[in-house]
Amino acid sequence: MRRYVLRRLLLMIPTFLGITLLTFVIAQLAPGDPFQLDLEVVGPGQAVIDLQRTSKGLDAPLPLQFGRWLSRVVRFDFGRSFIDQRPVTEKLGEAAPRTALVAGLALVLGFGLAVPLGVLLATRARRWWARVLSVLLVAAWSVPTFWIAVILLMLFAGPRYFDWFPVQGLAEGGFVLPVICLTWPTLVVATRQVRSALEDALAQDYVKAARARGIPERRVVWRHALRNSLLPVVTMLGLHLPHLVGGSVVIERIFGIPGMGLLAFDAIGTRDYPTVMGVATVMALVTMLSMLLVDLAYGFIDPRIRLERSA
Amino acid sequence: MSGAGYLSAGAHVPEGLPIWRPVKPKWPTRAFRANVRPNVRPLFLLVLVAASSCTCRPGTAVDAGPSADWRAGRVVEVGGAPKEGGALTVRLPLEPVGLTRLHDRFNEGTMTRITVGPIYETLARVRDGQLQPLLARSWSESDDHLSLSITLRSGVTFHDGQPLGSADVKATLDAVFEPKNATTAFRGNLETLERVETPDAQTVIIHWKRPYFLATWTLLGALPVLPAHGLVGDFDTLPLHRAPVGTGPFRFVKWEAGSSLTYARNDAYWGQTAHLAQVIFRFVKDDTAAIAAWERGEFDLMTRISPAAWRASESNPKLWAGYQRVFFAENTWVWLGFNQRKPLFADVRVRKALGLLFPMELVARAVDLGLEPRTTCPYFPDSKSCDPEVKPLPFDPPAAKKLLADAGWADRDADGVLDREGVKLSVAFLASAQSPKMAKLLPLYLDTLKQAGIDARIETVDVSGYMSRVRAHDFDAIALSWSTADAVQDNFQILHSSQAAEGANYVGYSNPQVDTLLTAIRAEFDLEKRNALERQVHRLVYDDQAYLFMGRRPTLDAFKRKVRGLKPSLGWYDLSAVWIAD
Amino acid sequence: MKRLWRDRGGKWALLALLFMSLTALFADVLASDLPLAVRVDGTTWWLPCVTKPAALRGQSQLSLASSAEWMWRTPIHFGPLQTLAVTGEDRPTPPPWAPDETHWLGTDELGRDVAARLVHGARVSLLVGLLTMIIAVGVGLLIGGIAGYAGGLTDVVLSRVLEVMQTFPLVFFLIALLSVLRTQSLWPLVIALGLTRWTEVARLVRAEVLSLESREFVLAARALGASPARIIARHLIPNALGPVLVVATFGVGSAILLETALSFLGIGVAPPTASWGELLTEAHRTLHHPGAWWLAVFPGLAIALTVLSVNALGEAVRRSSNSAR
Repeated sequence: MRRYVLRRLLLMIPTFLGITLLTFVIAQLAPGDPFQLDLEVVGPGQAVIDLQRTSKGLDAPLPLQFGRWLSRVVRFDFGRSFIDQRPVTEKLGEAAPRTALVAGLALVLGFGLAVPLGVLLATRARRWWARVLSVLLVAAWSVPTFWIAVILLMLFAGPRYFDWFPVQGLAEGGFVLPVICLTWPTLVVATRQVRSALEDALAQDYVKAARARGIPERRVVWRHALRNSLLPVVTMLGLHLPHLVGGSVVIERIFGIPGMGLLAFDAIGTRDYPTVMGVATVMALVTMLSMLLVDLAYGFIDPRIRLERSA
Repeated sequence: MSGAGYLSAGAHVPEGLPIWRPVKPKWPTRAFRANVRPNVRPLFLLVLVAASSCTCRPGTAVDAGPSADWRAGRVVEVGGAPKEGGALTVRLPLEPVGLTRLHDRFNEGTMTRITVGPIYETLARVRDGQLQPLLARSWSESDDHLSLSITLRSGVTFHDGQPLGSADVKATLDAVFEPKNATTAFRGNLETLERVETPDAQTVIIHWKRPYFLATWTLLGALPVLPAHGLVGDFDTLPLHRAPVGTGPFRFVKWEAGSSLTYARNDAYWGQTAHLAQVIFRFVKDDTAAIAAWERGEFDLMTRISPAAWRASESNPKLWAGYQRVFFAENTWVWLGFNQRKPLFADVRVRKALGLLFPMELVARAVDLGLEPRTTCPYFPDSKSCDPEVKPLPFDPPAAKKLLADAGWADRDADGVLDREGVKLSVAFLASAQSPKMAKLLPLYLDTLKQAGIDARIETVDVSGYMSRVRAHDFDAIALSWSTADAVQDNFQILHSSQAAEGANYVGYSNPQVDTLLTAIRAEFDLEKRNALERQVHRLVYDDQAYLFMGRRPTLDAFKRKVRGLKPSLGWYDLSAVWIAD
Repeated sequence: MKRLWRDRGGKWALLALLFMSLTALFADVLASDLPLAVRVDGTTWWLPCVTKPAALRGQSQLSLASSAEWMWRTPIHFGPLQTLAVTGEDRPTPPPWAPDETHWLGTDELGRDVAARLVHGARVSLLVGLLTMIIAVGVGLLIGGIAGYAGGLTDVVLSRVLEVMQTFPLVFFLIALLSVLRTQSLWPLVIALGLTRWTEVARLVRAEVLSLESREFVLAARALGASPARIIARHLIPNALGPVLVVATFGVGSAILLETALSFLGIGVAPPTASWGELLTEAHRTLHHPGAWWLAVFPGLAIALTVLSVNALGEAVRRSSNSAR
């Protein structure tokens, strides 16, 4: 077990390098310069721009810059933002909890609701309401998230209809609407996964055997079949988390939540490389850790799977 | 069956009205119908609700319409004795990067002016185009305009209790002139400064290398005085930029990144203390969200209303009952400029033709909604710097075609595009992806250009890319705006041909006559004489069509009726005079 | 295909998509600034709406109405980019104008016809969806096939790449990439989207190839001395195609949705080109325009119906490929 985790942690290093290197290259290739944003800075200003570029190490060749960045990151130093000069860690520290709150709630809600819903759809597939629901799920999947956000904003925030939630920010229940928007796609995807996995499981021989032994249907479904069909669902949960955070870019922009998505978007727009790299690093760590947790969770859900399996 | 019915089924009635009842299919495709109908319908209804949300409003107009003052955006002064206390919540469309005007990257024009204004003070303040004492009790200038002696007011303290002295003025200037600091905006205007003397704590003597009217004006009227003890250390990362310490009527309390900025009254202010106990700036970037919050009454002062929302608010009884609107034209002009380094646009006839094809009436109707007064002048249009005789070019396609024909442009290969010597007449407008105004305006212009046989297109890039293209002079046509806080300005940097290489003369305009005038203006301290020279510059720049000036950006704000003492001025509002009635 | 047609959902989805594709294909005939046919100044022009002859440049169906001897108009009389600067319409209130007999679905703030923009937007959106998935499937088949077949170190490295691409929130990459590549053409968008969507295909193909590799027909082919490339191309990939098709179909839908999100962020198809995402974004910008519901409703419906059809088709493909086994 310990060896397995260690091995997985070691395997993370190349993945981490890959993600950060890719981000670094893309960010640096973009035309534009963090120090040239103000057009009134002209003439003698150019000399200052050059000085600043030098002092921030931007005149060094790219591989050297990346090396320097890495050597600082291992000491947990992300540098300072080129734009407002605040430490990147401080900015990340402000943004991350907001995104974590919204995305986390959406993840929990989405999967929490998806399991009973999926079970219902798999076991009562023939009922008319189950058909309606399953079609509704496909339909729900077909609407752009930001469109939902706009409609929700119009209906439930502001004075036109139901003045229940603030238009911007997370205070005073402001997190409700963004969480709904992010839960929506999660719920749809997860429900479909639970349903199809459970349908497969229910067709297996051991389920038939259990039924033949006279175990009540409820117990067959919830204890025997569901347990086995949760495996792919858990995998999906791990894979879905990063996409949830990615999807929050649009949601954060609409609802004015200064989270990771907005931070990254603005940082890319202003070529604020230290901040871009900081966000990329955090995202990389989050996704890799969630994948590791998924793999570990396998062992708990299905004892048949030995962790040495992939070792 | 209405849209609202569907929604309330979801929202209010827990047991749930049946959203959809199974339909007994009548024809063979039964299974599909049973599957698809229900989901299409709720979707459609959901959308319809959105639709009806908007349509029902204008119909419900209440008896009393908006007043003429409301329509015009005229502020109605309500007298009465000022009341102390209360908080003013202000919407800001952008979050400032840092709270200082010195640092180039932190200075964002209007937003910085608004947020830094109540904290820092200058040596003198600009009132009605004149400098009046503020932190400086008095000043005197030598006749040759080469030295300036300033006496500071005594008894002024910074918000942290430290007294203001000449060392603070000197430290601020030192920070501006430190070569590695990104303070070039001020350094440019103060470039004639030779040295600073501080004979005692209350006296500052400035020596200039040569007379330059704007340097004196900037030093007295624009340069904020920062505390010397706060300017120690690396300039980029000074704590002062995040938590300013000034001498103004308000002091900094807290800054919640991404959401709000709070100031409180400076009770130890040297002059008349402010009435408001608190000022809260809330950053709401998204216009739609800001308008919803405004309708909700979340802002005492709503700023930067879009022209469309301004027009829409005219029929909103809720708003006109609770708010007063403010309309006035700022000193910010938007212009389109053609790259005169390119042979095509170096021809004044082509530039004039392009100007004659600008559909200004349509733009006024569909884009600015008649809210942006047009200008032709590179100076503050309401001042004597502009020649009132000069009128904007009319929209006149036949005249434009004639000019182009005179310049040798004709459709020789019959492809619908004018050409000359095998070169086609084409313009690519560089546009920033973050400019909704250009996204609306350019398609209109494109249409009139195309009809005149000019191959026009838009090239959209993101802001950083835009800036680097502009700096590299890699464009046909750009749109930018210039903005100044007060009426006194020097346009050397944008109009002089010497500034075309690496200065702010991005369009590459060059006219020796204008160059001479601009140089003369710089050394002219007499306002009347300077204005006369500036009017000549205006006329020449117009004749050359160096820029296609469009509108002056209007200030479109609204404040609650209980807010009193709010007076618009070029440098935003003076918050220390504002108070809130019951 | 036959199985799909017999499938209840598949049939309707196919019909709906056929309708959308025809709309997109014939966008120029359905809505254009120039008519279907016109005789003006003694010359007869056929389909000027498609051929866009230079002689009619700057003309419109409105301006031709007075000068032409006769004219067949397109069903929607306007082009997608025609502002009121060209149509010259003069009404008491500034645009947006509500749906009426001239503009069936209303106009936007510049007097551009929403119906025309919708029809031409279908072209952009469907093209983005399709091309994205073609690129994604191509790259996915190649990399998944190689990883699955070659195994060993190649597989380890490629799987790592796959993992990186699959776990990282690619919206960030998209934002960065598109800020760099931004041009007027569709290709950067399509390529960037395709490059972020191939991983699912590759993963599937790799798994499929691994399971097929030990099957008799592959072993037989190998025994007969077929080259690896031939085995991949002739045996493994065709067999993996079923599940890939399912993933690809769903991918088209999500690519269309992603395009709207990117438009909203200001990095999608560059305006003034009409795409559905751009139309929705415009609607969001003008939400405070009380009464301009048509700007939001029709593009929203178009997107929802299209993606719904695509997803329904995906379900049908899945059903039919399951039943085929």
